[in-house]
This record gives sequence, structure tokens and C-alpha cells, in this order.
Amino acid sequence: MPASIEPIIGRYVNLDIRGQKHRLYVEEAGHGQPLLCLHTGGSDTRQYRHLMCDERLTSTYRVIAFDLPYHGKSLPPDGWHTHTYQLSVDDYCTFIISVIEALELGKPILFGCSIGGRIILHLAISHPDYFYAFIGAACAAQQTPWYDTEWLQRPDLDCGEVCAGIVSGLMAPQSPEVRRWETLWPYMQSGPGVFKGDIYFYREANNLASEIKRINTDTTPLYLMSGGYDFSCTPDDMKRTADAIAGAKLVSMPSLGHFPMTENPELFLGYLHNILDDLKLQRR
Amino acid sequence: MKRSTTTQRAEAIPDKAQAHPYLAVRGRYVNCDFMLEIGATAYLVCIRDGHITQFRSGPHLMPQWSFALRGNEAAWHQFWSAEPPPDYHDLFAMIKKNVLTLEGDLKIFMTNLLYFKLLLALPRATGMEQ
Repeated sequence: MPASIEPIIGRYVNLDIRGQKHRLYVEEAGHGQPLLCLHTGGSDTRQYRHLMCDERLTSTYRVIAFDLPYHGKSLPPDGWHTHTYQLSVDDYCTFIISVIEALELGKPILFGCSIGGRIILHLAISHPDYFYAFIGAACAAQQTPWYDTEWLQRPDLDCGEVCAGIVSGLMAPQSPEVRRWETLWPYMQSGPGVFKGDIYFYREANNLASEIKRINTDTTPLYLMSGGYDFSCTPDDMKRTADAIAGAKLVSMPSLGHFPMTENPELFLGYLHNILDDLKLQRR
Repeated sequence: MKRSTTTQRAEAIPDKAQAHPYLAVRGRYVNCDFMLEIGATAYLVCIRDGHITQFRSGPHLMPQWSFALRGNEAAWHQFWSAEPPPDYHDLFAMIKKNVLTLEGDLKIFMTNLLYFKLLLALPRATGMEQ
């Protein structure tokens, strides 16, 4: 078989955020309206390789993803060894807005899943003017914890195996086996305590139930995507969130789980294209 | 007692584990005994170097085990169906749903989580979790 080269291009962006230097890895493919994609906690931009190789998507959209500090090819900042990594709401918002400004993306469509979806709710409340539209997957305003996060970082366990083992059941059993295992690999590679530090963000601000009522979907449309097999952020959790936000559109994906874009990219892309088509009609 | 379809499925675990191409390699450091309860039927499962050496139903006299997984028959029936429904497709999903309990010394279980998830999904009618 002849070699093939994918259209994905990777670069590094150097940012100075509150006196702390960060070197973030950014990938992109395609041309057109910017679609910025946020990875899940404990994973990285590789989750968007299927989107970035979808010609239908990249012919109309510039698909961009970046690794948060500590994730993928973004190193932790200097001095990381002196404290425990805990992702905060403020830092997460700042990373996203800084990347948008550094890459001069204008007002991108923002897609995010899991923690990347949850931050969308925060941004829709606090910084809606930076965005053309929001698409959040697995991102309910409130969820019920279902395991003890202390298992995620212990010196006596292979924490990559534990993290992967914990999230493995969040995918639909119908999703292709190879894609489910592909989804687990970045979790197995993740640095010690990184997934746990991301989950801290989830649980630090776990109740946005009243604040989300302030989201104005007239100025910035909001789509919510819910996986039927996601027992962490359940379809009921997502419905409660959608019901609380006037104008939010809920898309149910019964045969997908918590990692729709990686566990079954083909199926997920169908839903995503429908949303993007709907958005075009809405904004015409 | 008449064996149900669900307990028959459970009892297929040792043969399916032995036939699995990679499971024993993944679990080569697993040495423990655990209790697996399918409704009223309790199996003591002994693992040595990733291989099942005993899979024995009760009654058990003074059994010793590291951890126990206890679920009713209906829950395991759903879990082992060819296309398990949401909330019955994963051990943690069933624990959150309150149809399965996990108790005891969880360290060996958590250390080898993927191994135990693969092992216990073996009776599933398709090769979904292979």
C-alpha cells in the first residue's frame, strides 16, 4: 500500500499567562470557518484526528485542537514538580481565549467533550462574545460522582491502566473495538495525576444549574450532545441541562457513549454535520 | 437447584478465558480469589498467574476472598446480552445503577481493572469485549 500523508499540521504556541510561560501544541486541518475542538480530561488532541481527516468537514471548516498544559505534546509549565496539578475554571477559560487570540481565529465555533464540554457552559455564561456557536458533548451542568478519584494517582498502581480501565466502560459496546482501544491509549499515556487534576475541575464547580439559565442562545447558539451509553454524564443529566437553557438544542446519540468523536467517529460525524448544517440555516 | 441460563453463561467463563488469546498475558501478575455472585449462586473464582484455577459454586464453608462482586440474575443477564442496554454494559455502570455491589480489598481489582472487566464480560454472546 502506498504511503499516505494526512492533512493535519502541528505547531507550538508560546503563551505567557499570569506570569507563567506555556508552550502549547496546536494541530489543525482544513480551511474556512474556525471550529476549535477541546479534548477530554486525561487525553489530548489525537481525539480529533478523525475530524481533521474528514474532507467534508475540512472543506468548509478550519478544524483546530490544542493540548492543554500537561497533556499530549504540551509540557507542564516550569516548576510543575513543586505542586499538585489541578485544572481551574479560570485557567481553562484563559487557555482557550489565549489560543483564539494567538491564532487570530476571530469568533470560532467551539466544540468540546466532557471537561471540554463543561468549560463550554462556563464560557457561554462568562465569555459568549468570543464565540460564533457552542457545541458541547457530555457536559451536563451537574453530574453524580461514581468512583473515588484517589485511585487515579497512586505510586503503587500503574495509573495509566487504572485511568483507562475506569473510562473504558463509558463507551458504547457497539462502538468498533479498535476505536474503543484507540480511545484508551492516551489515557494510558497520560502523565501521573493529570486525569485526576482534570477531574478536579469537574468536581470543583459541579453545580451550574442556576447559572446556566443566564446563557443567551439567541446571540450564541448552543447545541448539547448526549451519548446513550454515557453513565457518567447521563442522558437525564444532559436533558436537565438542556431544559434549563432556553433555546439550547439537545442531540441524543443513543448508540454512542462519553467519547463520541473517538469511539465511533463515523457515527459521530453524522451528528456533527447535522448540527453544523442546522447552524448554517439558523445563522443565514 | 436447576441452573439458569445466566449461571450457565457464568460457568462458561473458565473455558472462554482459557481460549482467549491474550487475557492470561494481560493478567499474568494476578493472583487472588474472588467471589462472584449471580443471584443466589456464589462462585469462588481462584486466579493464579492470570489463569483460572478454580471456578466453584457453593455452598462455601468459610470462604476467603479478596473482593466480591454481587449482582442479581437479571442484571448479569442484561450485562451478558449480545447488545447490553445502557447502565448494564459495564461493571461500574451497574454499580452506579445499584444492581451490582463491589466490596472487599479493591486494590487487586483496581490494579487489574481491564483484566477483570475483560474476564467478566467473556460470557457476552458476541466478541464485543474480546
